[in-house]
Amino acid sequence: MSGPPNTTKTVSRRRFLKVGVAGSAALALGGALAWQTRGYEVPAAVSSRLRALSPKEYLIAKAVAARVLRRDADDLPMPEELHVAEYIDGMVARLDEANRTDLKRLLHVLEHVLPWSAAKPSRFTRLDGAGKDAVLASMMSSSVGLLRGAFEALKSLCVMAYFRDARTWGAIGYDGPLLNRPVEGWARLRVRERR
Amino acid sequence: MSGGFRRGREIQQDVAATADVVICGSGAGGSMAARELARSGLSVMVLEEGGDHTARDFTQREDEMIPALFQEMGGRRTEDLSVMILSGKGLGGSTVHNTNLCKRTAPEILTQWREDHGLRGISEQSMSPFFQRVEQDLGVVPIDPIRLNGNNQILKAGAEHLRYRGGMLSHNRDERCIGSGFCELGCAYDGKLNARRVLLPQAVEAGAIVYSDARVVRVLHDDGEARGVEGVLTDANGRSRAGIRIHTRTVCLAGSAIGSASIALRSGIHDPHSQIGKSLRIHPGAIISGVFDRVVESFRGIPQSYECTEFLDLSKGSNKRVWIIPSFAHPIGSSALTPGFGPALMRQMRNYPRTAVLAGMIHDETEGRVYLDGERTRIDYVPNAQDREQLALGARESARIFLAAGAREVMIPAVPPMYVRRESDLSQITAARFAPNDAKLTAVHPMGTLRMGADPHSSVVDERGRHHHLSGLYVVDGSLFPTSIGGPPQMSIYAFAMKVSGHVVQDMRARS
Repeated sequence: MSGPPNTTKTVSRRRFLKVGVAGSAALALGGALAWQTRGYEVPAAVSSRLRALSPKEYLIAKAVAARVLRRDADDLPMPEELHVAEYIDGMVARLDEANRTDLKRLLHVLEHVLPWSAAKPSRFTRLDGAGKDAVLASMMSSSVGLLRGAFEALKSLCVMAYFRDARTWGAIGYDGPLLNRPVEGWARLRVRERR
Repeated sequence: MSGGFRRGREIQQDVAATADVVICGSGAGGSMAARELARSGLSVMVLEEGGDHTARDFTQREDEMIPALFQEMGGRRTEDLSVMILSGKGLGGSTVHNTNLCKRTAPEILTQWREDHGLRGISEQSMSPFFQRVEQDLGVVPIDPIRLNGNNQILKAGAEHLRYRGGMLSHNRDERCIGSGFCELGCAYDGKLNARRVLLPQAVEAGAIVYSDARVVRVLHDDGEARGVEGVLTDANGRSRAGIRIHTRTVCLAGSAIGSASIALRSGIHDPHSQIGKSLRIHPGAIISGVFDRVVESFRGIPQSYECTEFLDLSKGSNKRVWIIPSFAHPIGSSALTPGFGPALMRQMRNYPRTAVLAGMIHDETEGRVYLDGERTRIDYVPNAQDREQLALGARESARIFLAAGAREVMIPAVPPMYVRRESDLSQITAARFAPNDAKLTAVHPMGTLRMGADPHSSVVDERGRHHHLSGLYVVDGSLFPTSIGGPPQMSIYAFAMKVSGHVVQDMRARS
């Protein structure tokens, strides 16, 4: 197996996001602002339901989820079937303002800055699957500890939105809440005692 | 005063009231203080930030219960994002979602507090009556070995094979517990003898008024004396909808080591030695999973009933500070802790029913910090070199236990993950692998940000839980602890809250 990163650079959450957003803004100004804002159209039926994310942020989150939750076999559902990005929007809406702001900034940094650091000079959402995986993998194994933490935060949102759905449970051998099914074995004995 | 439960989310208008005592927070410490103080004849108000969730609300679904029962929807992390800190909110606090582990504060810890922090009245003997009462009140009994689930059986088998010290844990659960395995999501069968089920109803019966959805913003004070608290009543999502202001001369902080420190910092309380928020301990733990050829189904049954204490010596200067316990989660929690993404993640999740998980939780020496950045609470905590050694020791020995129990493969989530298939692989598990954001660390026991001590230069409150500089302000939660305690904290919090409550009553009687 490969070894651990040689050095871990420690950067605070605030500094990382400020630098990232500044970089993102610089890229946008250095290129073309219109270029940065075009290409993020979503159907009106979707955008009208978004509670916290802008259409652009929604599409970035959707692109992340599609790669993080890419299945290994057909018995698991596709993230799109479970409306994962919409669920993430709902979760972000429930975050307190500070965490919501951090998360939204992170999505912009991922879209405009991190592909460059992974030698993929394009928007994240425009990369092909392998390119997106390379960007996410570079985050996951970055020498900057905070970037690794940011990856884990995004991944946590994705798996929450995915494994919440009962359609994912059968393939991983989980039978869901006990409240929804007959009580078995030892638990059945205890219930009988109580009655 | 006529007691009762009141839901802030149902109140439309500002609330202004007067009480003898206001308690900020309703977990183990706040609930115990509420009951004790109300029973002593004082008018008591409890203000709890979270909602009021009881058995009928617990759906056994992670996506619904984690946001409802945990601070920041379960996503609270240290400032560098390297440690996930899970702490509760809602009436009953963390006692609603904990796994009911009950251990007294170890005598070695109490000795250290007495000798190093000047807490001369604290000893095993002096605390024993408090622990006895708590154990009676909450029905603490050892778990019957017949109730060991698959995960706990593996820990026991591995530890016994290696001749490591271990044993059954004691819990506060009763016959309503059916061993559903959903303890961390709240008990739908109401089998936990926790603060919400036992103490808060007793407090209300004695006249206490308990508000949920009531977030205390600051303690009001003037001329070195507490005058009250002010805060907001919120909706179910924590958004402010009305104000609340309670006039009182006695305030007890019980919002956990993070929440209580935040309130104290926001209140501008005189803190000449900058002690508020310092000395945070969290018992960080590394997660170790073992994959077996047989089905384990760790998600069924009582999650934590056996402990391995072979590497836990709580005496001062010890280099064995690891407590090994089972630690399992449902699919969302498990997948978040499983390394990688995409097909690699999904392939590993297919091992879910054959996976056992241990946590190597450490009795930490690292001192973290809670501080404010504007109105936002931030947490700094980076394990020091000695604690990283302990994290590595815990991971290594947990992996050894899994191998002894017959695991096909052991994995420690890190960047990159550490895989162990034979004894010779254990040498890769070193302290260097526990740098921030390398190995995944979780913590569920924040403590010590308003610590007790005789010297105001190095502590926030005295042995009676009384603030050194602000008359009428007390601390009744785990913020009190001068050090880490190296074990589950709920018993210690209940017992110290009971002790401080007695002092509050004495002081108030003396004052009047």
